[in-house]
Amino acid sequence: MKITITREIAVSLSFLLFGAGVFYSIYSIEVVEGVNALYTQVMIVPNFVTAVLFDWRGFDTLGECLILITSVLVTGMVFGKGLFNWDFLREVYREEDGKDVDLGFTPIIKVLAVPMAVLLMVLGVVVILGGHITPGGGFQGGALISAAYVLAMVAFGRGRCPVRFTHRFLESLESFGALLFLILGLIGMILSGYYLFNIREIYGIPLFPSPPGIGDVGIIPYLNIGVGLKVLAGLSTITTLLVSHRIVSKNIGRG
Amino acid sequence: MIEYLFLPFIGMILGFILGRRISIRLNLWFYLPVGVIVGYLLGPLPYYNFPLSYSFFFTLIGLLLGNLTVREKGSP
Amino acid sequence: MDLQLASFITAGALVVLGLYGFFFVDNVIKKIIALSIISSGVNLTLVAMGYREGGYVPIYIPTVEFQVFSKHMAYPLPQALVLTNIVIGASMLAVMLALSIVFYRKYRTLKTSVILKED
Repeated sequence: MKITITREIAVSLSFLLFGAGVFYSIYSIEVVEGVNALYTQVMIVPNFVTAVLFDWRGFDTLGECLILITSVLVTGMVFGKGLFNWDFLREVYREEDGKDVDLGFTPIIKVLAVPMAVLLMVLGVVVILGGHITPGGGFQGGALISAAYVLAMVAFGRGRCPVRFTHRFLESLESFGALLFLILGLIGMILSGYYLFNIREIYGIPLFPSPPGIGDVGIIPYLNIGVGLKVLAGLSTITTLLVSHRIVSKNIGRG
Repeated sequence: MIEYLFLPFIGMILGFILGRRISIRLNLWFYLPVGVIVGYLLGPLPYYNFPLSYSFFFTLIGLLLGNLTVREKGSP
Repeated sequence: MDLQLASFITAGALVVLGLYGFFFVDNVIKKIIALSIISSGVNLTLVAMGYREGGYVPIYIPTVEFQVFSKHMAYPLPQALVLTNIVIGASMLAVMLALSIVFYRKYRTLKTSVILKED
């Protein structure tokens, strides 16, 4: 009991100090002006956020992709995928835990879920493809398609879900997205010497034919497609792993 | 012409891949008018020169093609 | 009140609220929600840093002249950083939720005071 009281006093003191420091530093931030002029000297794509994400700071996006893949791998490992020791899961998941209960929702949600899911998927694809012109991009579009999958799964239950993203399909999509990103970076390395360099055209043929007046977009739409597929696969895999009990039972050999 | 139709074509391919994974049969005569209406409400989404988002419409056509021809059946 | 200053104060309040929840609430899920609130505060700080009074959205419109546009555009760099941060926050959230599920399976409770055997 005494230990608890001392710890709480220490925690509240540090909390006060840290909170005051954070609040003060946030209050006294000054916004400097002016890298916009440098950025806009060379206009490549109309959407400047996409230009920063995929052209000026392309390595950041690559690292972020790898972080998402690592997160999916770690989530799978916690639930028994992979070749490591999962004896603790046998102890944790006892026999009497029961099975997944797939009751589904009321008919109101079931009637609306499939058209909503289809339209959300199509909107997600359009958002992925228009990422270099309009607000949007790979992350947002992938999250929209994943939201369509989650909507169908919540409405119908995992067993009778009409959108059948199997685990194998999601794995191949994720690998394809990451490999597309890496290989497109290699093309820039071969042609110019810099990894992830934005190639506008090869021998006069533009890489992504787009209407005149919005600039040469180069490889940025393909990078958007790769990131979108990867985010779609990652979020769907994480949701499937979190929602289901049967996968763990199958993994530890009790299914 | 290929400049305006390249992006919807890639959208059709992606929609084909996704529509193959929907296991129930989608009704063509419901989704085409809904696609036109939603495309009109979206406005000129990727390219600013046509009052209807034809990329949305083409992607929907690709998804319906994938669903109606090579749909995957059976339980997961 | 200035919009940017109001955003900073809101972000500071969010961070402090999240720190309070993270330190003083007993439930593991609520601790995870508090971490997510801290992440929202940090994102709001970054976005508010790039705010400009009466500026344009950073998407180039051909009807505006280029020099005027580059002077009055909001910063695209903090928005890109926030976009990165959101995805990283989502992946961290997934790992934490998975670990909390295994936690609940093992101990049959989510209270940290019970798990650490304190009274």
